[in-house]
Amino acid sequence: MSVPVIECIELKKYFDTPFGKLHAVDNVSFKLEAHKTLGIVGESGCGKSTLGRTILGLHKATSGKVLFDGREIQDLPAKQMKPLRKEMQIIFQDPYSSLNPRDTVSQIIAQPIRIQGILKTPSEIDARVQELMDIVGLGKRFANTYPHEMDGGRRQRVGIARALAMNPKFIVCDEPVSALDVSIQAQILNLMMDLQDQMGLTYLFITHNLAVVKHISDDIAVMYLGQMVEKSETEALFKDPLHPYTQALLKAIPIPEIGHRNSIKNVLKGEVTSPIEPKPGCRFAPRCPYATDACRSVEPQLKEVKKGHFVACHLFDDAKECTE
Amino acid sequence: MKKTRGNSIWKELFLRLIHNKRAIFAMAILLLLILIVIFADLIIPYSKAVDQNILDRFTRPNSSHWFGTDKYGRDQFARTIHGTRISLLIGFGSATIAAILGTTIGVAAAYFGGKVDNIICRILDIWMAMPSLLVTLAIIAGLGVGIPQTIFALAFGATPGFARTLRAAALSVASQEFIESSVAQGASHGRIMLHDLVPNVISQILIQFTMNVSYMILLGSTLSFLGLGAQPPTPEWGAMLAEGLQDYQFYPYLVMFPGMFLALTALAINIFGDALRDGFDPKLKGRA
Repeated sequence: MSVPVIECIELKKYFDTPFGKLHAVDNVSFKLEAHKTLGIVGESGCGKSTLGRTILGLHKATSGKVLFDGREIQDLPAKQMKPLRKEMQIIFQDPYSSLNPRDTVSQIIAQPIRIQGILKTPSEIDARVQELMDIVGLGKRFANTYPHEMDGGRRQRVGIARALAMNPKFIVCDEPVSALDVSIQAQILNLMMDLQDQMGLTYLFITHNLAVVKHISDDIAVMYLGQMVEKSETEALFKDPLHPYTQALLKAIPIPEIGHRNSIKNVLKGEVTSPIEPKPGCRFAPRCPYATDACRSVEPQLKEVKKGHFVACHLFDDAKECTE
Repeated sequence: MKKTRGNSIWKELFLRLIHNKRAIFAMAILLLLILIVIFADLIIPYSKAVDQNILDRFTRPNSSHWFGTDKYGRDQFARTIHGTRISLLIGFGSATIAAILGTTIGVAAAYFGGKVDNIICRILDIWMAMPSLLVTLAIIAGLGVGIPQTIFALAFGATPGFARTLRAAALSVASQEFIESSVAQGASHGRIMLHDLVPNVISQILIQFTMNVSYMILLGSTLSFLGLGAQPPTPEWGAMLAEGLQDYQFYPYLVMFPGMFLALTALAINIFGDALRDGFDPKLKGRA
């Protein structure tokens, strides 16, 4: 196998709070191959966004490693990190706050080119900005408009153009469509998939929307309270979810069918427990219908139970570790 | 970065200001003061403000001495006109220094956050806990009297308040995602602060600056009044008030004219500051 574009090894990110350490990302390990999309799903506050930002070094990892093309990057000083910034970019959730309101569209898209000093002359930069606007489907007439003069979909296109400006290999997509109308969501998702084909991009796609993640991802990882509880190919995950939490998530997808309204059963009870100084044992145990004493005392480890299908749950303790 | 094309915020501000009657009044007075500062020597030569003429002492306002003369026979009109220069120099000079220092400190605190923010805030607390007039007097006592010293002392007193306000304004900007985006692009701290943060708090900087100018003019005159600012025979409004005070019972015009100029200047700048605040207020703009 080739070297993965991104590999995380026991990545941890804890935040200090007045009440103790908040385990935003706890012991997350995964590999992401080139030209693939890994979808990260989970409910609000489970550490999805923090994971994406920690990989990019926007948050400093508490411990663990992040490997980009096989090279450790989590502790690189800013100077050595700067050239690597060209290779990895981020698309944000909120197209309102992710664009500087004082800059025009062309200034926003040109900013990474200027910062990295890729192109020098103004005419070269202008041409590149024009090209990028073409790629993401923004008309020339928007070059001199300000973000607040555009609608959400177009702003998100600006955000994408900015992320593409340096020809990155890897892009963290932090809920890039959840702030958009459904019709616009489809446009943006298709644009992102086209770009992936054309430019050979690798995506880490963070979302809480299962329909979106099913559409775009090759693999899906499910997170719960900072931990990865299940990871598998998209098809396999939707067909045969193993972890009780994943099962509950999939059951919560509304089915568009008359008379189906009251058929949703086994809805999860209880609230997400606090991510601050979590108790030992499985973090999902307080809400899990199958929880045993073992679940409340021993933390389950992520384990490959079928080929390419990982799960962290004591229900599968007896299953044989799948080795290739 | 470059504001070559009309940025909507400036256009909107301009429209708001010219539709605000009080703002027009304030801007007219400020324009007049600026013209006075530029053309003071053409209006009346500086020598008339300092040359003594004992035969002409205590002349009441008349056609040759519009504002009368003082006990040394100096023309009060010339002194008031040339005093404008000194008063505005002190006001704008100290407010500018306070704005530069305060913005730097406030924006840095908001951007770096955490420990840096904590340390800066505690320093500002201590800084602000010292009575400002006392500190100003102490600085002048240490550095000696003179206009540059006055400007520095006033700026020193105004900086922490400025930094506080700017920190609060920059905090809401610093948490926005476009700042993170710049980090992800490899921008340096300096670039992010200058290019991303400062332009987004420029309205607060301008409002604070304007309010500070009027306060600094008054405070500068207070120092001169106490004999610690501009030194005789330099014409300065506060100094003129102090000199006039000895004879005002018999010659009230000695304090009337410089007092009027001082009050009117401060009033105009304050009204202009209020108009700026209204003009920048996003709640009035109909969009976030």
